[in-house]
Amino acid sequence: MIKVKDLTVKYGEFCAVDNISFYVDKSSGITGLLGPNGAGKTTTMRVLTGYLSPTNGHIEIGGIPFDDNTKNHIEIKKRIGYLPESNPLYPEMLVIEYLEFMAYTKQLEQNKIKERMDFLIETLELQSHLYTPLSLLSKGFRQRTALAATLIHDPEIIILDEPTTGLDPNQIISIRNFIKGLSKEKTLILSTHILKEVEDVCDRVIIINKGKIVADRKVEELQRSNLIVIVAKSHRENILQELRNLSMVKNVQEENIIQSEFKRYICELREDKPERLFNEIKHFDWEVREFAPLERSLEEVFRELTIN
Amino acid sequence: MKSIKYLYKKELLSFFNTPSGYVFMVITIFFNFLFFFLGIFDLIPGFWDAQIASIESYMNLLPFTFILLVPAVTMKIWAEERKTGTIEILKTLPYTEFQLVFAKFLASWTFVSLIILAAIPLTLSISLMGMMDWGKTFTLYLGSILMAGAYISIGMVCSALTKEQIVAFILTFFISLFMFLSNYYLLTQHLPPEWNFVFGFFSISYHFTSFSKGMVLFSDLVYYISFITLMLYVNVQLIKKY
Repeated sequence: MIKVKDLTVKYGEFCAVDNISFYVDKSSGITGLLGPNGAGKTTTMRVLTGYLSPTNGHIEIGGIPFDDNTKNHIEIKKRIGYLPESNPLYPEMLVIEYLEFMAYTKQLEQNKIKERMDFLIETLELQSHLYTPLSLLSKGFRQRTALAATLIHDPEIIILDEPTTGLDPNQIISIRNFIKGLSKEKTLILSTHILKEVEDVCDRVIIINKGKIVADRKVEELQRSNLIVIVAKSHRENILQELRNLSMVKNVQEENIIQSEFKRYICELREDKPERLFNEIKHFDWEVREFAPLERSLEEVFRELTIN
Repeated sequence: MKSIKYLYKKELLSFFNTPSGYVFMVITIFFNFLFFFLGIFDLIPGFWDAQIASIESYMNLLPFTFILLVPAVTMKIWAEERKTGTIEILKTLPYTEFQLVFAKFLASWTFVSLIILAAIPLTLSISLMGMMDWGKTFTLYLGSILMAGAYISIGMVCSALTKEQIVAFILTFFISLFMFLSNYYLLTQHLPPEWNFVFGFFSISYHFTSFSKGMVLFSDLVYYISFITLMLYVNVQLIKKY
């Protein structure tokens, strides 16, 4: 569980994170932290992992407050698996040495180290490069090694900062599938500016712009608009007029469908309550072929929320 | 101590995982041996000229050696972590800042101490040639190791101040040179006599004098331990601010 309340981070006069609050736990699924470059995503993650200290605000990780108590810091850090943005590694170490080092320093129990390492090496397909120096690894293997190191102590909270940056499409799919598999048991936050990644992987999205949260909703809720498409025909009633007469409908557009008696009506609702419109039109003598909310692309939503 | 074992091991191995560690070791030992046998002009007589079964002149070379060796050893300690971004990994491990600083300090101290202890075979060989003063030999080793610790602690602070290794090297070199020379007439000749005493007292080389005479003074031990502790404290504060 991650609980953030009134978090503010300033670098001198510049406010990187401005009074944000959110709550994430296992039930949230994968939470995507989305925002343009410089929005405050990485700063937020760095504060959550203890790398940076906040200027103001209260953070609780797994029920432990991130305060001045050193013991709490250590306990919280044991529970977090963090993959930093630039994926830094010690170039002189071998893959196997690095994983061992991370297992010991993250204080994984001695009798579990071998089992956990074997599991991650197999799952992330690192067998062929175990004795390769980290400096000689390809981008994909670097990312997988860093991910294995992040998860080596089986943390309950996983924070991944742009985990697929620089990977080829096959590697991206493989890492995304792996991340999706983790979300069943873990609290997982993932930062990205790739909208496709959010659509494919995340259940919930927190959009940050200029240090402030501008949206915090489920992905499908965010994509939903207050536009409803109705495809219908009626021999006795003027559908356009009837729709205009409904109080919940703000605006209606009529479109002809080629070689069909049916017409498409795009209704703009006053409130995001399509069920009310549905209940109303049931009483009319219309033949309705389609009634569907018009989904907006995440790109549209993102632009709307982060420009101006 | 148990908890920092793995950090310490990784740091110590980092000196031996790259050629630079071996290069530092070999060059330092080679020149120390060379100057020990041949001497440096009239400053330090060569072993064959002095005709004394003692390691003292070898140990007296070490303060000069440290001024060049220690900046080279310590320049990467924090500067490289910051430049490559691995500091983010290090600081999010379940350790306190003090444990991180202390593990790195111990590893560097061990590495430089190994270079000092490389003179043991030489010491044993010399002891076969005449009557060796073993007490003095022990205090020379102890003093050298403590002095190395003081220089390393300066180097770590300098490395924590910058992302550039070369800047860390130059800073450490000049501060170490100042801390060494402040006991010598060359630097203090224009100062009032009372300032001479103050400079001398705070000088790292001043507190080595008694060790080189075969004595272990409590005040010198306190000086080195306090100096190292103070520098490590400054280092911890710098790391916290990243």
